[in-house]
Amino acid sequence: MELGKKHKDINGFIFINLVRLMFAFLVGLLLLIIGIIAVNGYPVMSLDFLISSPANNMTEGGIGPAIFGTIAVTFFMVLLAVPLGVSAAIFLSEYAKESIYTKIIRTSINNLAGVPSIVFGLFGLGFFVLFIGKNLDEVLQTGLLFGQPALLWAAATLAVLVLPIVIVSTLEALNSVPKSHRDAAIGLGATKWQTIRDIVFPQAKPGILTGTILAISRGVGETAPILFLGCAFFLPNLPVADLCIGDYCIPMINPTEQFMYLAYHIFILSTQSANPTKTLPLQYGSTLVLILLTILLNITAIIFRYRFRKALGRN
Amino acid sequence: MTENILPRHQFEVSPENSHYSKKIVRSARIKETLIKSYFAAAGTAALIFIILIFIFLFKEGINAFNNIGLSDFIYGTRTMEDGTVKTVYEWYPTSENARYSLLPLLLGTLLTAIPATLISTVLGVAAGIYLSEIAHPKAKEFLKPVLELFAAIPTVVLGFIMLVIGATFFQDLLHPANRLNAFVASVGLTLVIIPVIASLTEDALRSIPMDLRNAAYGLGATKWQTISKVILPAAFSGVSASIILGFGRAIGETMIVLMASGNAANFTMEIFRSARTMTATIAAEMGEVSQGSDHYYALFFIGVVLFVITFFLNLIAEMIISKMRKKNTF
Amino acid sequence: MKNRFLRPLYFAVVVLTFSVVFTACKKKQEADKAVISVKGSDTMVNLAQKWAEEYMKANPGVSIQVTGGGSGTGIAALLNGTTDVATSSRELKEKEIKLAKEKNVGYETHKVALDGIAVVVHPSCKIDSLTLEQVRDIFSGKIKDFAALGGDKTEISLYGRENSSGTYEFFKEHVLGKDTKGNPVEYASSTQVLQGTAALAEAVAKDPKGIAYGGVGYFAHRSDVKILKIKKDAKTPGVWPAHDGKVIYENIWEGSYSISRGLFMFNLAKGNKAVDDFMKYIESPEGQEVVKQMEYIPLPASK
Repeated sequence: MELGKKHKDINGFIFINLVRLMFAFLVGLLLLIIGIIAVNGYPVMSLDFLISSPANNMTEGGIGPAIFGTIAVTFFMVLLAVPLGVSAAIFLSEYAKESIYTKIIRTSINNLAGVPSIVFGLFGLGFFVLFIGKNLDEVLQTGLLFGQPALLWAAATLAVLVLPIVIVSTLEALNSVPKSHRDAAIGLGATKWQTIRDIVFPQAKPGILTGTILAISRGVGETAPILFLGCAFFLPNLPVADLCIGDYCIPMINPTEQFMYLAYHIFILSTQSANPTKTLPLQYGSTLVLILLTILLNITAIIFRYRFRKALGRN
Repeated sequence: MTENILPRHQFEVSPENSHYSKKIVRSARIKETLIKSYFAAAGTAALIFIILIFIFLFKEGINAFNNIGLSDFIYGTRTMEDGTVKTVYEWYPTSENARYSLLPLLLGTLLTAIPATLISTVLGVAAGIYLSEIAHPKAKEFLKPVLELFAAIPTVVLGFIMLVIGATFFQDLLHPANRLNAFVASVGLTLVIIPVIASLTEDALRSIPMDLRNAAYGLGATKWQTISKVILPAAFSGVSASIILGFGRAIGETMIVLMASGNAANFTMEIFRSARTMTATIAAEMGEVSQGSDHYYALFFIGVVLFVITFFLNLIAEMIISKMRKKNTF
Repeated sequence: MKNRFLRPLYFAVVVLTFSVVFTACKKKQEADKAVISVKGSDTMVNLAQKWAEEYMKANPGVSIQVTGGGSGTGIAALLNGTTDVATSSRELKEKEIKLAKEKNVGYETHKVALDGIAVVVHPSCKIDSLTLEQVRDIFSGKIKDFAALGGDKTEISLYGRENSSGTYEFFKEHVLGKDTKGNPVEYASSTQVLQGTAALAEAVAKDPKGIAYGGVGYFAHRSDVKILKIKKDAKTPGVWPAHDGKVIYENIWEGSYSISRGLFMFNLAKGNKAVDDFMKYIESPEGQEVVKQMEYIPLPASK
């Protein structure tokens, strides 16, 4: 009877398969996009491409400085975003009682995640460069050093942009630590801080790492926010300077310099290099590197989260 | 409940030491309070940044009104060659007779965002239904991350693909008025919004209690009848919230429209013509505009408009979602 | 134990303090090197970069930093004293000259190269030449169809640069010009705006209906776009800015090609020797050789 009815439901049959088909189409589209990039980008891929500098008016050479700049920016971004985001999540999960206040904070986290990326760019320019940077220059008497678009401000802006990602994944991780563990620790006489530090935090670490990886992946792929925050078309030198204490010098990232950025590099190559047709292989190559980077980061995060949830028995 | 309970007895081991131990307790308390206030401060970070974003956009954007009137952001006037003065809706910020009408930009934004949201609604909701109701749980475990990978593709990559492949594909297929047009851009946008709509739809469907499905099956409904007549109506608010959020993303996306829409500030409703969005205008002009000019402030004003629009879209979506959560927990 | 949790925080603080310290150090270090900063036109940023590279190779004691930002930005920076040299793809505007006088800033003007603006179409387009007036009517939106120019009956698809670019301003002022009432003629609002001259070339190469304008160097070597001959008026013969992959310098030097401009560099007139030497190098035959390499047009004197 049941079976007969199902056979009669022709509409259902059609629609369910239509839904299946649409999903298959999406997966196919994803594979197609990655496939096109991989096939076209593979021929230029080499170690030399990854480390050498663009040459001959950006029509030859590699993407070394762009990769360096991307790593440098993400490094500072993580330094700024992760401690702040994790602390914010600890407050929401461990200290704050549910109230209108926490509701407002949660709403702002969601809203921050929804702010258009180009608006972050305007904010970075208005707040970090023109307000913080300019005032810093005045206080430190450094002339025009901080008050201009630079690596540090790009990283700071991206840090604000990825902050919701870090907070949300940390919150999820903290919430998955069983309440009984906390009660046990408090019962044994540990203070709140000791409980967080020694019991809750170690268990939530993999979840926090997942959030960090997702934040890096997001930051690496963003272009719009850094368009006017010191991202350069082409730079002959890396944003590096020697840090000297006495006569002893070590090269370090200079956060007050302009930088090249992989995602921006793709944009530039495909719209502003001397001859976009000629540089098409380079564009595909750069795109392949960027997409591999983000996909690998995401897969790592997915695996991490999967294991983490499994280990905690998914409550 | 457990807040601030310091196990005082722990330190009060012996009465001879009581003076000393009180000191320890006090310093421990101070430390705990300091730590707590640090976390409380960090906890407000998101709120503070939202406020700062608003303040600093507004601070620069408000300067636009020094020389530009509110009406100038809607329409301008232009003296034609025959001497007549015409009301025009044009974005010519660097002209001697500068015109700052935001209407063509707003129209361009809608012309790319609305078709993108429509296409994504069909595909995204279908993907959500598939993951939540149709896919085998084992398959789902593998397929859901695939959707996340979709969301992970940087938008500049999607813009690049639309520019070098998508535009040519649609040019040969549809022979549009402009090779780079609003439609090409909106196809690129769908790739960004589909994962947003799909994952939120999936959340909304999954939050529908199992009892509802069982009741429908018990009444003899088929799977599709259950989905279309019971689950989807029950999750209607959640699904609509996902569409609103998707629309918000479409309005705020920059790189795809910058690369694939052609950026002509047309005052038109034709989807196969080039369009210029608010985001692309900021991205293209901000880098080279001289600071402190009317044009500079006008771009910040566009930022304010964008921020306000997306802020309210997000707020509405969130209100719907939190209402839905309350309803579903009976 | 205690600081295991806060380690990243400490680390961040340490790194940031270091950064501040060493940037200060860096400033001191570079004091013994002559630093020249060059800022301005995006059209010239590649050219200026190349000059800087060549010059630094020969003079290791000099460090030259080149940044773009647009002609207006460079000039503003010069007048504010934040750059030593400004590059510009146009001459100073009256407003800027006035501002310089107000601020009591003396500057020197150097014409360092020439640039021809070419009008290009898709190779399949039947049109070979246009009069200046036709070019004006096309880009202002008066002529909307190639049929009006003797081509196929298809709608024209316009491509142009962003409104902050020097090329946009130059083309507007010198080609679109003013209407009979003396009001400046505007580009058609249907003009598609792309982010660089190369992107324009790319778009026209793929769009049979497309037409675009831009620095001739970007088009000369491409076989997938057609450079049009320009006639001063209906009676005079059309002149090519470039043909067979080569820029024709003579046509631009003699002025028989109608749409060309000078590229300029401005520096403060306060006798900075390092800057003066660099400007001398640019105007020298070696410097002008670089202009040729970068596909701009050298000054006629260095012929």
